[in-house]
Amino acid sequence: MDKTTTLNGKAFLHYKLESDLLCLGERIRGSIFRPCLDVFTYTGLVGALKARFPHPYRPIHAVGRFVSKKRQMLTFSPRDRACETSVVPLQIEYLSDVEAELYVELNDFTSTWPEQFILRLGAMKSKGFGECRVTKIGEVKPPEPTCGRLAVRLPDDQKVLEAVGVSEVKAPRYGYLFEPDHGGTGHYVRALFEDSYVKACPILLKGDEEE
Amino acid sequence: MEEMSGEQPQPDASFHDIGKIVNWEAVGLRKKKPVGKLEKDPHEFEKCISHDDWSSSEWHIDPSATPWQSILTWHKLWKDRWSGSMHRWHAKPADWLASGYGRGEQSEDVKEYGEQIRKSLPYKPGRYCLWTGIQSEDKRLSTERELRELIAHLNSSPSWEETEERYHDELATRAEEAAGGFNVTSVLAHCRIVGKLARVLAKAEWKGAAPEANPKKKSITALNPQPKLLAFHFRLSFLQRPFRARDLGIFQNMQSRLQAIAEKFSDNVLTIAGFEGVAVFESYESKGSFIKALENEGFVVCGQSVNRCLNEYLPSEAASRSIMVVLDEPWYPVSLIEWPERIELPICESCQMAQATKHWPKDHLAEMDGWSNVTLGILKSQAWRDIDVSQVPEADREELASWLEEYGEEDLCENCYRLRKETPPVKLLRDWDKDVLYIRFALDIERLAGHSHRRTSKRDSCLEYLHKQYLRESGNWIPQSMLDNLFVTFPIVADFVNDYKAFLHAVQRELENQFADRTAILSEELCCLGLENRNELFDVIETVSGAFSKAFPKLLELPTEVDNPISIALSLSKKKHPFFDHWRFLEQPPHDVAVLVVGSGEARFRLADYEKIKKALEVAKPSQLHKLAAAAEISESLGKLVLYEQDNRGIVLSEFSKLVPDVLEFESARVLANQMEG
Repeated sequence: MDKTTTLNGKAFLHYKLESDLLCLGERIRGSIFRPCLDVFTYTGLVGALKARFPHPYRPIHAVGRFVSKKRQMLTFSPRDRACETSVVPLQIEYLSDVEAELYVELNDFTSTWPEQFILRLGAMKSKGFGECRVTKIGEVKPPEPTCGRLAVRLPDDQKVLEAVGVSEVKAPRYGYLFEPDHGGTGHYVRALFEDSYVKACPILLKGDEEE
Repeated sequence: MEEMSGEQPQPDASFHDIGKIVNWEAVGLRKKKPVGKLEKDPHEFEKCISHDDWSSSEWHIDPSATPWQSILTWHKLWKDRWSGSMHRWHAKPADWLASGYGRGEQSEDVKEYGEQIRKSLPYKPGRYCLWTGIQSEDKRLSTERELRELIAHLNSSPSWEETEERYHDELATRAEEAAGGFNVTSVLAHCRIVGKLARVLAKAEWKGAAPEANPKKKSITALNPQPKLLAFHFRLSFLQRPFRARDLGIFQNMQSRLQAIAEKFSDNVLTIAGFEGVAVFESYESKGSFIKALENEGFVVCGQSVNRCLNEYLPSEAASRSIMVVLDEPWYPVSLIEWPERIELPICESCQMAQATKHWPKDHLAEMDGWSNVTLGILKSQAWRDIDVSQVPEADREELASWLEEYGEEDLCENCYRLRKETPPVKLLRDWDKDVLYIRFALDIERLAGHSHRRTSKRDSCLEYLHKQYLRESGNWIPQSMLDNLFVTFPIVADFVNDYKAFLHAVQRELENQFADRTAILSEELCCLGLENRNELFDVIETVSGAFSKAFPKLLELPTEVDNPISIALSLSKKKHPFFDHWRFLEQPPHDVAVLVVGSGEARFRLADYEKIKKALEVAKPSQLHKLAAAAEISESLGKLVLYEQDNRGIVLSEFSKLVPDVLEFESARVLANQMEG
């Protein structure tokens, strides 16, 4: 399959994403320490966008790439209101002063989205984390795919890869992403993690790694 | 002529240069030609055996002994005691691949400049070590008795390991190439590598190679199909992400696993330092089984690969850098395991690559002997957090309570569960009170031996620079084109790695002596110390610096534009700080020395500058350091005001000010001042 042709006619909405506090929790139960991811996951972004723009049938495909961020640590002691006690303090890692690029596949549904909106992303939303200001920059036609290292985490699903512009997976670095099912449960799907070597739209690649 | 029989032990090409440890001139078997020049060094024992019938009445060589099959193969005279053996076809290219200087593009230079260059390269059989600057003494066997003992030893068909043990000093101090300026590789490393390469090549396809022929580059190039040779430079990490100090035994465990794989693939693995190494394979299948073995043991593999035909590595071709060309390739993740497309809940909390089917420590305890049936029933039926020790028979209560206190429940996959079971918990850290300091060393083979022309930075790699420097300093006349074409051969890398391992061992022993039971050795390259005071950080750097300057003094003289291939990363925090955070910093340590003080910042400096930094810290008054650290906490500008504060006579108070920013960035100075202040 000439996957480059599948991108013909496709376009992405290009947004600027800013957040003061963002906690993209790694799915590791690290006892009292909760580390934070420094890449966006496709499932996390799409989940947040679906929550913001709910639609039962229309698929959303989105990827993001950090421009700048600071890694910070918060010590937090959750309170058990029933027992009137605080449990062992947690150390939570988070990102502050975040600026990122967000790309959403353009279609007749996403084209109706406003120029600016608030997106709630990641963990600790009830504590004020995860509020992202999203501002539209414009529309971009995906440039020619090039080889490089992936800057996002994407499900290893042909439909998703085609939608976001990955035309060839040359050397995968696999991991798993959580995918919710109906009814509050979910399962894990195989995913291409950051640093996988792929042929893809440059918007998905680490800038310094392009070859 | 006797042919090699099927029952004969396999010859070992490692022996091919053993004759180089003999001083043939001193023994009286290398004489001067009538024109005054010395004869060719007869290190293939050609003066000790008849060229006609292979008899050796004077020296008693028993050519039926295995080592002689790799020695009595006189390529130039073209005589082979085993003319029907294919061993020559494997050993000869292996020798070419593991050599370098005087071959390839450099040999073209030697030919072009002929006598002019030959005259400028004096005969120097002792090895010159590029990173210590030590010229080895000539320790070759120089008496007839010693030569006879060597021949008797070889007649006994010893293994190469036995020979290394007996003649280690002679092999390690003799240069493979005796031309002064190029005497930088030991015969020991050269022979080891040739032995490995020949054994790998013996497994390749040699269709069309005539056993009775004398293999030359042309005849090898003419083979169709070509024997394959796949070079692989790999770096390993592992999926498990240890959080708790007690789980840090995983490093030792994974190192043992890697060691076991390296032993299983001992011919293929040319060198390993920590979790990085170089290997060669004769086929994709062989390389695949190595990668699968690594993955099956839980390693994540990233590598640079070159998959070529043998003739493409040989010096007559443009790629004359032999297997070192692997360092020019891009890095890729490498995985041959078929990972499932979907995993049902729960996922393994340790590796997150498989479904968790085990519960730690409950399942582990249930597998242990000695529990009463009641306790066993509770362990098998109840969730860990629901277990109430009061329901447990008294005999088991204390033991179970200690487990309950120590561990929360973790869902693990079979692999991580097995790993956890066989990894004894690291207990030392539990007994320490205050701060912990993790120290990680890492050797980057690319920075050590990559080729400047291929490197993106175009800078000389460490060994390239040191070798050029040696050639310049030795006063030899070397044409510029030869310096430009200079490359590092693999045996030098192997020599360096051996010294690097000895350095790691030495520094860990010194830290153990210094910190006694406050030392935990976690792996060859990683250890942890319990600090009673934060300024002990400087004692540690002092110890490391001392061991480094003994092992690699020339690396401390590298100019700033040449990277130190050895990184030293130190990460300091309160004892309770999660190891995960330390490991993010330590896993890929930056160049030279990097110190992370959790909650304070990061300092980076060149180890070569440490003496200057130490001096500045020692002469600084504690009050000055305190003032600097406190001011810098408020703002960098205020910190800089304090840094450059002058007394009434206009003298800058802080010695640190002389170092910023040339030797230290302000941020690094601040972090170090903060720690010195304690």
